[in-house]
Amino acid sequence: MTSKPGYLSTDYRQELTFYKTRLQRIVVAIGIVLLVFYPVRMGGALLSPFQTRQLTIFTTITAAIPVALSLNLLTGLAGQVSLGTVAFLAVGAFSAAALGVEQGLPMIVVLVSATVISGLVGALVGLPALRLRGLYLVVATMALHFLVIFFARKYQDPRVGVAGFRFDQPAQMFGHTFGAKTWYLVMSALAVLATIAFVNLRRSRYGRAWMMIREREIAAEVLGINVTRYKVLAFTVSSAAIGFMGALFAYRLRTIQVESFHLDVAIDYIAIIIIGGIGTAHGAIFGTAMVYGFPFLITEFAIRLPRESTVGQFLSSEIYNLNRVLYGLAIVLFLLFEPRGIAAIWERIRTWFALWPFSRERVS
Amino acid sequence: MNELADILVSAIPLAFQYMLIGIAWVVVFRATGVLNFATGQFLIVGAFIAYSLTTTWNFPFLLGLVIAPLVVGVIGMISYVLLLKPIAGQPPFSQVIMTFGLSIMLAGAIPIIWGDASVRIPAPVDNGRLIELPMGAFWSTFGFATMVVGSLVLGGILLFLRKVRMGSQMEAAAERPLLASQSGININRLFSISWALALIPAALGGISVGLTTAVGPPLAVLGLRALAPVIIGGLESIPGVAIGSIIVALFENTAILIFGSDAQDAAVFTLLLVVLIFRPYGIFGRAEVRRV
Repeated sequence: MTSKPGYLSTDYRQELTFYKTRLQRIVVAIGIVLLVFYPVRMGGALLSPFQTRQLTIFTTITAAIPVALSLNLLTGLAGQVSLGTVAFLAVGAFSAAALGVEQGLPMIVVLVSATVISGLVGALVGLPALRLRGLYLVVATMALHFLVIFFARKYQDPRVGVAGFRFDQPAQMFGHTFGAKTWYLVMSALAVLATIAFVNLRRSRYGRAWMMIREREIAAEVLGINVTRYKVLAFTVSSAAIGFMGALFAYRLRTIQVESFHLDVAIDYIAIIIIGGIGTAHGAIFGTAMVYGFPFLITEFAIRLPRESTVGQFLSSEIYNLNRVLYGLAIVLFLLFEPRGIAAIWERIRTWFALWPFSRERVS
Repeated sequence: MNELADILVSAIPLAFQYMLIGIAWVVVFRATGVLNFATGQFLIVGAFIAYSLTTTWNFPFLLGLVIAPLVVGVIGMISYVLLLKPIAGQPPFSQVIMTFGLSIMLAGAIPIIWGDASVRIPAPVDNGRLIELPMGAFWSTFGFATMVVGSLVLGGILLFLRKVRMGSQMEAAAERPLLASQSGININRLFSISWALALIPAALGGISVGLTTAVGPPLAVLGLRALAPVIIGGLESIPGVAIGSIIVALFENTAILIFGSDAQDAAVFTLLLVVLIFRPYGIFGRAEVRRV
């Protein structure tokens, strides 16, 4: 895996440990402590506008991590490139609309049902997807996206019109009302859980089978891997998780509108796992931080410029489009110069320190 | 009965629009094995350039409509040389993501340059009922112009690929790039020319839409819908995309008549999905034989 000899396992116990080095354990521990104490540090009930924006962006990033990891499971591990991420987010969100808003069922029931429904839809999609590979699958999942959006619109329009479904009350579970800080903590916890699940799945029998299918399907079949079963499983697990997150997003934003489920977001998630580093857990985290954090930083920079200046005016009116351009540019530059993403850069930095003071020698 | 005649007749200009855009997908795919997901943005760019040339820059109407596709062709060629050539030979997946990156960049740049609103390209002639047909159906001026231009482009591309030396070289390079380059064909030059050649019809399609209805950022979905005739036609066949366009246009018009205009996307993509599931190699394509 890595070029430092010390990272290679010499026995099974080493291979099975979750953390390979003590440094990893320390970094993860510090990361989790920071994640948890970050909002606690922020004043009392009243947050400044900047603090609110910070909390929102951190919640957005941590909330996107499980979705990115789910797509990474399907695309990065099993090699099935899908543009259906938003379709499954929509399936989850509209399940929440039908059961939570329309029927008024409790949140926990809605979340479980949304997960099951999305998983079933995912399995249904996975079956025809068995016949398709590569570019054809990309096109098919794109077509699926437009179909799901059509049905969602047909469901939404006669009931609530363009305004969309709305939760009148903030989300509640087990008597606890979800505020901004609660959402942040919930999403962070889910991000951590999803990461652990991804890392463990990746090295399990399932993960190895998926990666084998990704590398060479026929060889996988010859080795006794039931390709059909594992592909459908990848679709089911990934869409169930994405659907769950979709329902959760619906509760967090409290509005469900078909217009917000745009194909661009599906491309965003593919960009996240490409920029981060395909098939790795930390790649998905880096990618999410980059794709959502970078526009946030640019926006924060833009609103601090004097409004009268030409640059300030241009930035404040075109900030959204400018962010798109820069973000497209980021995808292009990563593909040109580091197709393995931030994870590979991270790996190089790590190797450099690990090999110091002999870093300049080329070790392959 | 009138409605039926209307559907049949109005499907033909629509089919030519689909064909022009579909040719863009096919030519790029044949040459470089990449689905160019930025096609939709390029057709918007083409229509907007035509708009700017004929309004702000005061070009004569027809000259503007000729120059705009050429400009788009050059932009396409530059995009190929800068973005796709360096990663040629990498898995098609990375190259497709590259076209997504390009598409996002263009999608951000277009509103910065031309604004968010949809505009109609102003024309010196009226888009009136040019040719009256039986049962009250008609072809409008620009609908008919699209049919003429579309037929010329279709014939031109087919002639180019079959009769012109560079066209046959392009065929050879698409079939076996390594062998072609070994026999002295400059495949890099051919690939960049094929990008230009592909995007010119796309821009013409965009201009046709800009003249008959309006052009704006939402038009990008039209670029994606044009994948349906491409897949039906077998992804590599230019006559296939022409026939696929007629099927898609008829299907789309019928669906709109029955389910209303918001069924447009859903109808076309359902057709696409059905074809993909039952005949992934299209109605005119060959089944791909995979060797172990």
